Amino acid sequence: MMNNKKSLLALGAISFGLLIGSGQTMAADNCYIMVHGHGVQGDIRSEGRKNWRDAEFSQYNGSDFMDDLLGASDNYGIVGYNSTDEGGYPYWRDETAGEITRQIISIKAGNGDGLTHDEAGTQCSSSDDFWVVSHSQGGAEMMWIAGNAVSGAPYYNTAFGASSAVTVDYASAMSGVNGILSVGGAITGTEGADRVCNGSWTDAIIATFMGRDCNDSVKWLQTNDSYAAKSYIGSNLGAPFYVLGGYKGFPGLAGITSGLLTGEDDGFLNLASQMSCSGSGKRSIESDLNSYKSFLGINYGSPTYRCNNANKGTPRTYNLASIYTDHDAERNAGISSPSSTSIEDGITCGSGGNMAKRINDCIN
Amino acid sequence: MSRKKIALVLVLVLAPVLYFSLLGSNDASDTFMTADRAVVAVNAQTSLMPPATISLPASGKQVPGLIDTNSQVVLAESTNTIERIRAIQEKTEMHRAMLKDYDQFKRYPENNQRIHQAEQDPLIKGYAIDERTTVSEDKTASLTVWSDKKYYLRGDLVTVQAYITNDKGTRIPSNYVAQLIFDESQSIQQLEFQDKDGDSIYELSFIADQFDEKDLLAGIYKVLIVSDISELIDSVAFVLADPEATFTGNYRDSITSEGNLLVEAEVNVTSKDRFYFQASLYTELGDPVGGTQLSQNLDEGKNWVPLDFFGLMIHDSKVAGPYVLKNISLARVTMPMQRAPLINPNYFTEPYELSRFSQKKFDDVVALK
Repeated sequence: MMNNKKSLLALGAISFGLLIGSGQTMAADNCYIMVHGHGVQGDIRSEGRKNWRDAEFSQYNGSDFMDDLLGASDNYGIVGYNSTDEGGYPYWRDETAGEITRQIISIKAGNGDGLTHDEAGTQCSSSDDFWVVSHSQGGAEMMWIAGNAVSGAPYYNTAFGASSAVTVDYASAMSGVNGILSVGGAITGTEGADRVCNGSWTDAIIATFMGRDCNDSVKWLQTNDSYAAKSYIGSNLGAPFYVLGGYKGFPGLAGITSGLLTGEDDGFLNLASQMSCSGSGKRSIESDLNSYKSFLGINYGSPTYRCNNANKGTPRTYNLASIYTDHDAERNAGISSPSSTSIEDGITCGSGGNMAKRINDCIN
Repeated sequence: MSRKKIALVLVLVLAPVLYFSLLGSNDASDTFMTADRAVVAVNAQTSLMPPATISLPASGKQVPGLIDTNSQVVLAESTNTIERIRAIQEKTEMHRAMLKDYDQFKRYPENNQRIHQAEQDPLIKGYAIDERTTVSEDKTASLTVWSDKKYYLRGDLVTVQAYITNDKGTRIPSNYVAQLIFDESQSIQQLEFQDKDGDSIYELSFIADQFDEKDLLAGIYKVLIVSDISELIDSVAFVLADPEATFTGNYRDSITSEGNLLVEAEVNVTSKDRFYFQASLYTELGDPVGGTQLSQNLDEGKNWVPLDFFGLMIHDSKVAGPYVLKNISLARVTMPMQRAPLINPNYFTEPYELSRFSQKKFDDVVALK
């Protein structure tokens, strides 16, 4: 069915182009390189593809991120890496960042992703326009990769094995990438990981999504700056980073997770973490003060900034959208037309669709 | 009351009951967390633990970072894409943002970054205190915690503070227990908060050096903080660093043949390794100009570290010298990164005329080569 839909869309687009005799420069095809989030195991590429249409909640069954993302001539490549608790690999390991990097390079070279796509003719070619779309832990992975792809960065082209460092070509992976689109990205971690690692075992629903033990993968997704990817990159990125954050709780009883996360959240991640704001990844964005707290005229603590591009927590990062979507629907596009909130100094584009549609709208 | 309202009330009442009954193991006795139990849980969790710090392999290979158009790795953007976007007559805001980002990124070498406002200085941001607030599930209380630094050297005094506010935002007294934990796996010491001045801001401090006559290892430490109000729990994490290098306080500056400002900082290295440097340049009147970064392998002994500030970046400030090297930092590049304290040398360069700096965009310089 998807093939027919794409064929019709493509035919329509070609006909329209011929009719109006467009004088604009012919665009190349978009290639979306998809980097999944936490918890993918087994055959990592085919599981990686499933991750973009799996649904934890039955009301999202049958939805697929690709259906809303792909335009008539768009292509995609699936990246897969071991992001499980059993693997226990932090975002800076060769098994995670290194694997992602090698697959991005291969897809950009036109080698395809090794999967048979349901949608015919959607493997990327080397002449495409490249975008990376990442979800959840994938956001932390891409922040680490992009932040160590530029000269002078602390871990320039370096990942780590169990006990030593290895060379990984982040610079080549980021070369020619137009942008990284982070969907519900754990850029500064999640309070869920804090709670797992702080031994707060009452939070069983969060543990269901993330695991119940503070393995290294979870440990490095805590919101403390000592673990956050932004503390392990340089002062520039190899590609611009556009963030889309979600702030809807999970459906039904699982909505209780929002009570365990400080500030706005998507049921799993604090919105402040997703949006590349300065300050703590778990703070409330609505209550930003843009000032120091004061007691008897003496300032104390740290200043909090508005979550805008001028005061963002990481370089070359832009707030694209803040959308009323939960963490599950972010990656399977299960909510078709969610509402959204404007962001001070953010980018306004897209016509109110979910994250997948908005990416398509903004790029094309 | 209508049927809908009755159903809604039933759902609201039954939801938490159903939730906790579905969880099975989470009976009422599990819901209050003591410090001891929290620590036991933390200690029991981690089975796969890498070394607390991982070093980079010894290598003589220079890591790029200086402004060198012959050797610097230049990321190839998709120029065709950018030109296509420029040709679009009705651009989306995303298109405009992409073009602006691209033009900014290509204007200077990638290890240089213009700083428009002091609060955007990456050094200030990188060392900013990590203050954290946790709100209770019933939203009636909040726990705020922070340490006075994020990176400590051996022998430094570590100070951690905490307070609880009620739903009106007023600080209220609380009992705390705290535990120092290393690398999420080893319980080091129970710590005690005190409120000596009665302002309900509780404080604990200790010297980051030894406990029980054993040296603390370099790595990430966490102070787990448990309050007796609303079961509020949070933690402060910090890095105990052995950076193996210090700035000697000697600096010198010059203008390169390519029209860039070169500031050199002398560093005394006690163990050969890779080091990461960041520095930010300001005008004499205190307005930020830009920042630079460098990652470099250094041998033991004294080394001059070259910090390049691109000519056009200085030109864009529209202010002549002298310039001030306001902030500078170094870190040993292990995992986790071992940062030394932020230094404010306030070193003044020579009073260079603006005209002595290159006005060429980096992209053009590369193209000429």
